[in-house]
Amino acid sequence: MSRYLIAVGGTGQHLALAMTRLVHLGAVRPDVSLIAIDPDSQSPLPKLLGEPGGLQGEAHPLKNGSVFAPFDLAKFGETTFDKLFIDAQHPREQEVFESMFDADMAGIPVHKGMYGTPCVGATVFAEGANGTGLQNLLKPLGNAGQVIVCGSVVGGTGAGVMHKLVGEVRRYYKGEMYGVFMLPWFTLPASSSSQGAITDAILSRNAAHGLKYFYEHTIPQLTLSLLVGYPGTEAYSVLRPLQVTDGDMGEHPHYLHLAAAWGLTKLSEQHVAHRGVKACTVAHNTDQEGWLLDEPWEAGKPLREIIRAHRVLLKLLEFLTKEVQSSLLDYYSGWSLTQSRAAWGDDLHQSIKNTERETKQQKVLVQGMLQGWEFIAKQSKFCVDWAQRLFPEAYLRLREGDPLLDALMGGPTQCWAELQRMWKGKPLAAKPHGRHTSYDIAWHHAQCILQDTITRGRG
Amino acid sequence: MAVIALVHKWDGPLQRAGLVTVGDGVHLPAGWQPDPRHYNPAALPTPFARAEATRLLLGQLEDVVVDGQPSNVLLTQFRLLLQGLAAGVLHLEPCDLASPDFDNFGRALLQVDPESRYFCRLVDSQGLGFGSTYRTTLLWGHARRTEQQWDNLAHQVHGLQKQALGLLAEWRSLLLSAGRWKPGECPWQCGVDWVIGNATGSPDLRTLHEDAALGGPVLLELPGSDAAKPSTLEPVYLPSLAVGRREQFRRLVLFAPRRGSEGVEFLDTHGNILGKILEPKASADADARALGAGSLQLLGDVKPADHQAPKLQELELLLGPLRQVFHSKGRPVDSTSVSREPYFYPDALRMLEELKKASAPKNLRLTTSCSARLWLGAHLPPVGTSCVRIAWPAAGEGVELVLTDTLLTGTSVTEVLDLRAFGAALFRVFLGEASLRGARILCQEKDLFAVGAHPLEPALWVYREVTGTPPEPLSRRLGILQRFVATYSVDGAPEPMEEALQKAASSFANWAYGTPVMSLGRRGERSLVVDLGGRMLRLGRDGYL
Repeated sequence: MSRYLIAVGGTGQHLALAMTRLVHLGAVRPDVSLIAIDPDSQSPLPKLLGEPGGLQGEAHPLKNGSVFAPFDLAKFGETTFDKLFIDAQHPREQEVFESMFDADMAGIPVHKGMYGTPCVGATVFAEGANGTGLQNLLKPLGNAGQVIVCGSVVGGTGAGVMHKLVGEVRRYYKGEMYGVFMLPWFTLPASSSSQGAITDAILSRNAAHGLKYFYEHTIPQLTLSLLVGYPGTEAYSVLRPLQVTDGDMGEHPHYLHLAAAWGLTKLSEQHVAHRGVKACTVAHNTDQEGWLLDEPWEAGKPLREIIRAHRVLLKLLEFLTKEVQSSLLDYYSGWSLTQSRAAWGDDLHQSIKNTERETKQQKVLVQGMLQGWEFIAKQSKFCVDWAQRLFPEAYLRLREGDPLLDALMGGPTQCWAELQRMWKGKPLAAKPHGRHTSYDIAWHHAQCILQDTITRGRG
Repeated sequence: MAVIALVHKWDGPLQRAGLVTVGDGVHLPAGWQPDPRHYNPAALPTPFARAEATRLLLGQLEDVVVDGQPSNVLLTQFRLLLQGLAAGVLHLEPCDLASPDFDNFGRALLQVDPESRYFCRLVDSQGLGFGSTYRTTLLWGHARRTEQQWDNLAHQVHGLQKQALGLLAEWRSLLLSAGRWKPGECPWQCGVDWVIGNATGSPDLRTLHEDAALGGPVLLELPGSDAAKPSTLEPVYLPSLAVGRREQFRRLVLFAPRRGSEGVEFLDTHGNILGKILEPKASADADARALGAGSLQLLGDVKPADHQAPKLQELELLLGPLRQVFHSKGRPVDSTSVSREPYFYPDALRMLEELKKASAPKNLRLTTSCSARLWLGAHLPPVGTSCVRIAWPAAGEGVELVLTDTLLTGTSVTEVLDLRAFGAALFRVFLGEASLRGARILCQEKDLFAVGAHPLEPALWVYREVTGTPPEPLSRRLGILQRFVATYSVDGAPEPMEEALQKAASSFANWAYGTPVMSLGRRGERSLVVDLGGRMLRLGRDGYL
């Protein structure tokens, strides 16, 4: 049965992106389905979540990266908070609305976000919860094996929506439900003082109130919750404060997202070991900040080795697609008199032959394979770049040095040698019925690289 | 090893990296509590943020009230709203979020908080809203009233403050007596205590009885009346000063009531409407009580008219449906229940019971199902010889239940038919036509005994069946009728309840046959035990069934 990750607001999407990478890397089991909720689906962050590393739709590691608005955007368009409700035909409605919300709140352009106002976020969500859109989103939860709700208690959307969302989820799902709640994890520049701008003071205010509300009203509804935030101002090698400009809607990778994702995978186990406990956090070792890289994640392998394997894969695929693609294509064009396939060995050639005997068509196949490798490299880069932003280089190597990575930096001879070794004896056999695609071959040989790297450990 | 917790504040040691419990794992750590002086509704993730912030403040008064002055404006508003309401400057306007008037906003609010459906706005005499009610908070302030408007309200309240607080103290004393005042469990009660301060009410709760209106109601979380009972959500009526209110009502009921478009109206001799008891139109799923059913509206000063007799019986009949509404919600409308917890009843019902108690003799039961006009007086009305009087202490000290078939009014005899109807109900049971469903006795899916009425009172349809001449089939069943009379016959001097059963059976049998029916034949076994109005009766069935 599926695990459902319900990601709310921008912070929820950051956690979802972390989980996307971890699932793709194989560190987390691929049984996680995403439901992302945010009024804004056009900013860089939701767009990245929608197509991470080129994967979209059913190929998305979390099955679906689309971001859904908590209210019917098509119906209301660009609108302010009050216009969601107030109309001339219902004066009593207006009276009650105005008794609950002041003029500043009423004027919030909710199609862009909740501007750090959780009571507005909660009300907008209440409006959306009435519609069929949200109910249709949540219906599949009836078959879920586990549900995790994640977001922040700091912003307007996450904080405002999550508490009520938990109640809505319970209409469809009665099993174990976990929460991952991000406390303040970034700061804003002191210059953010324009009208309506979110400031550090607002973030702190929301966190304090949100936590109080969470403990009273939300925590009893959840099996166990994880709270994660930045503990102070000190900067370590890995755990560092982050400053974000108000209105910057792109991704801001942070170690806390990785820590939260790891904690998320441990919540069920923690609940069994400590029944009755409702709130936990992650304790971080500042002397050995790579400790999460050494933890066995759901794959049973340390994350360090998995990331390393993808670094190797990325390096080799970039070699194939950027440095030597012409050699490959020349050979299979039949025009090269000097090129041989000695560089990449017989196994790759055998895979090609097993799929396409016609030499003229083999070039087409290789062209497809190169495109496939580019695509696979894009996905690995999506994960590796993220890891490199979280950890300095030294953390992403094997402790005792990394001859393999060093060797791959050495030039084409080393790359070809490693590829030959990694592919040796592992051509892709022909299908008994039908034929493989070029992507299948590219995928197979990429997996050979990954498996070999992980199995060998060090070069 | 240096280990830090990834939260903003942490007390205590940490041994290793990994998942760790926060505090005791259940409660908000003390160091994380926000400063209540700065509670801001904007930061609370609920549409009812203003109510929630006020509730939090009411639960931490010791931290936010310094030298009697609140350091958060929401508390200042709470105090002023309560004083304004008690002073009669503000009044409660019941609302239903499910009403189409509130459109999608109402639906959205109900989606996240279904219990918020019924609430009241607090409005001044011009209809300007100053706040609303909420079940955990009692009152919370409007988001858009200006400082000037609040100051104006304070100015209006100022001269009435002492009486208003005294009235609140009297109202609180009723809840205290009923075991429902537990500020330790109830934030809004903490708030009321704070506002009342050292004020005391008048002796014998005189202001509450004579010069106050109980308005609303307001749906409130109310502590249970004893330790074993949990808090429940109850519609509670709140007090407002209204000088001469009870006297006005006493004068009003001297005038003829009739059913109007908005409820019961009282008309003077010229046809002018002097007052109304409101019965708001409620949808099938709505709680009429919560919408203000039973509210008393006085349209001007009612002049005395003491040459007229109070129209209490007519009013009782007209208020029958309203009484039924309250009864169906577990609030019987009788003098004992109303005097014990008057804050659960609207003015009309409360003051009517008080008037009846003052004017009615203790030992008279009012038949509500017959068409006769009964006259309430200081003495037992002239009843016929076929009459049974049964002490009924559950209804009050010295109260008797009187079952009679006739009343003598002047030179005429009025049929009342209590005993005959009671006998008809017993006959249905005797024939095996009745079935028990819980506490109800049904015949052809209809209740044999009236629900929510006086004990042992048959349903109206039973009364109608025994009015006039009996149907012919009954008059041919002498044998059954004789066995029926035998079943309930008692030798010697029966105790009153058995006498009632015996006389009821005879009354019905005699009417059904046309002439007196003897007790003869096989007695039915009285094995069917039922609870009628708190009395366990053994009813019988024909032994030949």
